[in-house]
This record gives sequence, C-alpha cells and structure tokens, in this order.
Amino acid sequence: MTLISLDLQSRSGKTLAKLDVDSEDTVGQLKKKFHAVNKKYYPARQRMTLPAKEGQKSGEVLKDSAKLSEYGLSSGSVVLFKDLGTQIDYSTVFFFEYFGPLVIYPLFFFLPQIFYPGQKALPLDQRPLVQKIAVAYWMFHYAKRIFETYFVHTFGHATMPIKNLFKNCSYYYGFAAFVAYFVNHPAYTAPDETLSLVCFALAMVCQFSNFRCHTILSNLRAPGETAYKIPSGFLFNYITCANYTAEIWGWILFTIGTHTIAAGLFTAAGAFQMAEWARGKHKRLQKLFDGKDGRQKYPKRWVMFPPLL
Amino acid sequence: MTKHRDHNNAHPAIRGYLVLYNAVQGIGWSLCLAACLSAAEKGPDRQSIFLAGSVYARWLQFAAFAEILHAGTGIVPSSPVTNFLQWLGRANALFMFAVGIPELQHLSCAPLMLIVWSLGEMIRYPWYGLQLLHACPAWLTWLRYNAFLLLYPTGVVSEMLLLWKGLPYLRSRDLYSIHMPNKYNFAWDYAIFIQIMLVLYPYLWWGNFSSLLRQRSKKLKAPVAAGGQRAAAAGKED
Repeated sequence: MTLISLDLQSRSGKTLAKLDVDSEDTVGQLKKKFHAVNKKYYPARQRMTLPAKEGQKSGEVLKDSAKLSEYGLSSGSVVLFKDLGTQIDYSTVFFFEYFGPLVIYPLFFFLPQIFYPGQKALPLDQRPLVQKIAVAYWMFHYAKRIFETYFVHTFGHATMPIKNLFKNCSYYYGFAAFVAYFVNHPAYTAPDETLSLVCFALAMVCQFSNFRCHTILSNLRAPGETAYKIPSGFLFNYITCANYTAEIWGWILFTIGTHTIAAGLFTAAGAFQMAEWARGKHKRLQKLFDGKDGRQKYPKRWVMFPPLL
Repeated sequence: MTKHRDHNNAHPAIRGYLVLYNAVQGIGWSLCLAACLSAAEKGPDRQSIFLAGSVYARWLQFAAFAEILHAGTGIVPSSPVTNFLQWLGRANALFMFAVGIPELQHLSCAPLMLIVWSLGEMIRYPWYGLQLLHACPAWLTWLRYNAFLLLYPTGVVSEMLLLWKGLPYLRSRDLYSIHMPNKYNFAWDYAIFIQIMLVLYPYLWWGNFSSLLRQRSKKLKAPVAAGGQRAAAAGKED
C-alpha cells in the first residue's frame, strides 16, 4: 500500500500527465486513471511501456493484469505512452468480415442477370448439382464462423486497430466475389458429380473437425485466465494448429469439388497467412514450454500441415 | 519479418556476390543507355532507339528477378512481396507491351521509358554496391536521393501511357487472356486487368515515391553540429 506518482510521457519525452496511484494497483487501473484525465484515450487504445534499457530497442510492454509494483515502478518513475489508434472489438471485426462473404457469394448464384450481363444462365433447378452444393457449403461455412465468434471463441486480445477492419474485409469480400464469380458462371464446367459429392462430404467432415478444434481451444483457459496452455486432445496431440489443418483441407476439397482455379488461389492465400500465424504460435509455445524450472516441455508436433509444415 | 541485421557487414561471400550483381546491373543499364543514345544519333526513329536499348533491357529485367530471392532469403533488407510486385510491373510494361506489341515502339514513351529506367538504375545499383563496400561517395548518395524526383514521375507516366495505348491491341488481338468455358473454370481478361492496374498505378506508385521522399529527408539531413559522424552514418544505412 504505497502511494506513488508516475510520470506518463510521450515517446518524444513530453510529460502527458502525472498520475497518482497505489503501487498495488494494476496497469489496467492506471490506464483508467489516464483515461479520466484525457477522455480521448480510452484504455483499449493505450499502450504503456517502460523506457528502453541499455541495448533494447524499446521497453517492456506493461500488461493490464499485472501490478505496478511488479515492474519496479516507484514515485517519479517514467512510463511511456503510445496511442494505438481507434480500436474496434475483435468480435465486431469478425462479424463484418464473415457477414460479407455470407451475403456476397449467394448473390452470384441467385442473380446471374446482374453479374453476368448478356449471358444466358440456366434456371435454378437446372443448375449443375455442384453449384448448388457449393453455395450451401459456402454459406454454412461463414454462418458457422459467425456462430463461433459469439458462442465459441475466447479472444486473447479484446480489440484491434480499426484499419484492420478495412484490410480484412477487403480480403474476405474480394475473394468471396472472385470465387463466387467463377463457380456460378453460366459457362461453368462441372467436374464428375461423384468426385464432387465425395469432396464435399469430406469437406463437411473438415468443418466439424475444425469446430471441434475451436471448442477445445476455447476450453483451454478458464474465464479470467491469461496464461498460455498446451492444447491437447483430438488432432492437437499431433499438430499445434490443428484448427488450421482442418480449415485448409476444407478449402482444398472445395477446390477439387468445384474444379475452380479461383478457389485454389483463395485456398493458397489463406494457407499462406495461416502458416505465418501457425509458425509464430508454434515457436511461442516451444519457447514458453522449454522443460526447464519445472515447466512442461512442449511435445514434438507438426506446426500446421503434415507432412509439409 | 526482416531481421535487424547489419546487411552492409554481412558475410564476405554474400557481400561479394551482391557487389557483383549490382555491378552487372549498373554496367548493363549504362550499356542500355549508351545503345539508345547511339541509335538516337543515327536518326530520330523511336523504334530503333527502343530496340537498341531493349537488347540489354530484356536481359537485365529478366535477371532482376533475382532481387526477389535476395529479399526472400534476407540477404537484402527488403520485402520479397514488394520486390515481386515492382518486378511484375516493369516486366509487364517491357515484355507484354513494349516488346509484345511492336506498334507501340513507334511511340515516344517506349524509348523514353528505357532511357528513364537506365538513368535511374545507373545511379541506384552502383549506390547499393558501393554501400556494401563502404566506399560510397557523398555525391552518389546525393544523386540517388535527388534524381528520382524527376525520373520516377517521368517513368511512371511513360509506363501508364504505354499501357493505355496498348489496350486496343490487347482487345483486338485477344492477347494474354483466358476464356471460359474451360475445364478449370478460370478466365482472365488482360484488358480489364490492365484497366484496373491503370487506376491503381498512381496509388501504388505514390506509396513507393513517398517512402523514398522520407528516406531522402533522413539521409540528406546532416546537421553541421554533429559533423562528420552523422554525414558518414547517413551514407551507411539502408
């Protein structure tokens, strides 16, 4: 119970505020105090760091849940502030980025007169079976994602910068239109029907696997826990990011089932991004669970996509 | 993504290779310019000027693909994706348009594009090479960060004009396009693609140009008080 006065500075060294807090307060409480002083910077937008030490490029980031005393802060200590920009909830971003594809793709299926002007499209009941299955699968996939956003996923971070919303939506909406355009094209050439049926049946298995992976991940932490845990059970016993494995296979099967290059490009783009995320997560878990000082050792596992990664 | 290594002090074999690469490109583009000027001396036939330079430009542009690999392997501190897109832009203008549609060679923008590229590269590649050798003279750094102010806009306008003038040929000759129906349900209308690119060009180009402007204000600003140390450091980074 020690009252301390912290010097909150901008990166250029200008003092923004002198904040009186208790050393047992959390960083989160410190942020609320600063928000009270400056209404523009709500806590989600604040990044606070210690000044950089010798040899460091930048100082340690202060975690919201940690106590100020844990960082050795005392009266007169300098804390650096950075504005992260306008923030938006993760779940809001996810909703908008998934709602787009959910709506955009079926537009191409149901309204060919708009998207393929001047070309004769078959009436809905005469369309190739693959086109019907594909639109149903696609919509199921994105409806599932929205469901998971609100009922399954537990987010590590609460918010992200708002410019990510535009970047992410461009990606999802763009590819939705790109894939939908070719699969629903009046001049679409359907592959062998049996092949398509088998592919989509397997793809649905992937969807359920992916869902199971997501529930396992969301159950890893009890509400309020922030520590990293080693995922286990189901495919996680063999693969760090088993959810990505199921997701990628789902799209590979969609591509083969529809025989559409555009779907292949979409699959490749997604796989490429997921590989980056998976490598980061895998490395983080290996570094954290190094087997020393009583910690578990992270088991030998594939990163995301055996036998390639 | 790029590790913060000191690229100008990397392993001698890597630096040696890069110095060689930059030398080849620097000399190559000088030869391209020389060929253009020599053809221009003989007569103002734009097509001959272009063809004289393109003998070199084709190979140099082809070889420049290596820079994507340099960035990808990390021996050069640059993004492989950015490099790839820039390479693609130039390759498109040179191979698909200037070379692929010979009628365009009679336009001023064809040889002008080569000349502007040559002038720019004759400065840029030697600058990289000499940086690696820690032997870059201040005047070359000055040129590097000032010549682009004129060359860049001229270059991009020539490229855009070339693309614009090439559109009718793309359509009438159905160049570089895929049509449906086909087994893999893919179509690519090159003319539409180029029209979209023409809209994006100024935006993409500005991103590049403004980052050079920022580098310029950093590198050419050497406060007198800090003296020699700052000026030397200004030539060393990148």
